[in-house]
Amino acid sequence: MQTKKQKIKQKIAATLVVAFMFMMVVGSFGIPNIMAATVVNVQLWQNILAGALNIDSMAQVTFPDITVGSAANSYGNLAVVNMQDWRGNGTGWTITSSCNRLSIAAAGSNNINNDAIAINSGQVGVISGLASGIDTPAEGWLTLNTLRTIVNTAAGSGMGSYNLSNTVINVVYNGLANQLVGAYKNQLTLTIVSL
Amino acid sequence: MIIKEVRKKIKLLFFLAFLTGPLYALAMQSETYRIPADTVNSGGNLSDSASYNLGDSTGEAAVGEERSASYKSKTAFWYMLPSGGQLGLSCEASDVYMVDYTLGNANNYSKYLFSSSQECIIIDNTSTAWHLTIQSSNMTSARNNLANSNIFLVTDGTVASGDTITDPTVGITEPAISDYSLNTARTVISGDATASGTYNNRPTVKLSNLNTLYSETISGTVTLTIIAD
Repeated sequence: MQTKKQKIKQKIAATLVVAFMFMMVVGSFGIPNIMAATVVNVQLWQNILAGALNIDSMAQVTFPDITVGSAANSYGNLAVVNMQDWRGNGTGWTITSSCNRLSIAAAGSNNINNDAIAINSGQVGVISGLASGIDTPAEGWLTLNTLRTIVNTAAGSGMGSYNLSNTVINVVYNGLANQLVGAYKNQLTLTIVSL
Repeated sequence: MIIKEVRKKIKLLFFLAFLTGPLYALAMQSETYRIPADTVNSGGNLSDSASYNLGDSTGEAAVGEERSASYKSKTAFWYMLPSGGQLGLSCEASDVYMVDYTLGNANNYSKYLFSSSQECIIIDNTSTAWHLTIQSSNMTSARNNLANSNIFLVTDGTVASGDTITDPTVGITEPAISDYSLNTARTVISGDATASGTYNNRPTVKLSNLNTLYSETISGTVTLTIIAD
């Protein structure tokens, strides 16, 4: 009986040893990395955020001298004006222009009203962006006694950076004999407006 | 009776041992990650110097290589890693979000270095040279289509810093400074025959000509490939 028990215990111990060795061997067989990846796809994302709709400020326009009593057209060239549409929505935009009368400070002076001042918009150049769908009015000279659109873009156009060049202002002097001498000034306003 | 009971227990023990053995042999994996081998030891480390990489572990019961006329067996943890001349590649992130870009930026491009949590890991268990390539699809949204000719890998020839970074640097070279359009596969880094072990790579990507896009989120697929030379 004692011998049998001892034999059984020995068998149990042997079984445990075999089991342990089996685990170590089987666990280390080094089953090959059957599918070691060699190609990986990564999804790349970029958020594009809206910027601004903007028109840069412009320099002063200077006209040649005119003589009292002599009717004349006086032309002044507008410096290049830059505008940008960074909104990224393709809504489109226009540029409007307006001005007040030309006047001097002296009391009793005769002003040059804004119906005698006209604008002829030049050409729109593309600095970077979509070139199509941008134009200037076909009418030529537009008097500035009311708000005038000088650049048009269609919806889906005008996304990018542009400039307006060769725009001319014409002051029509009717030769009034009692026109006071002086440096007449006014304010010309260009506005970029979303469609 | 007692003997019968004991015999039953012996059989049960043997059966349990058989069940637990194969658990060590399974490589754990998910859709995104794979663990080809693991071990619970008393210690271990990854070390490197200018010329060598070393991986070590302590406390394994049986280590070594045994052969017969027809078979070879390699026991212990390190043999279970990609072996027999295999290269492996994985990336920490399946989605990489670049820093937001605001239209009208004077640069007209967005450049981004993958972060350390987005790096791609190369496992080299070969004695041959290899190279890692990258290529991109177009990046699109509802109204945008940024062609992959406007998507670039940016390198500067410096492995450990700057644009596109790899660590460690043993046996690794990076292409000369340039923007490489990803409309075709481009080499990110090359490993020569002395390169061995694990390398962490963080590529720099650049998207150009963004200012005329619509303000939407664009996305595309970047494909990285490890190729033995």
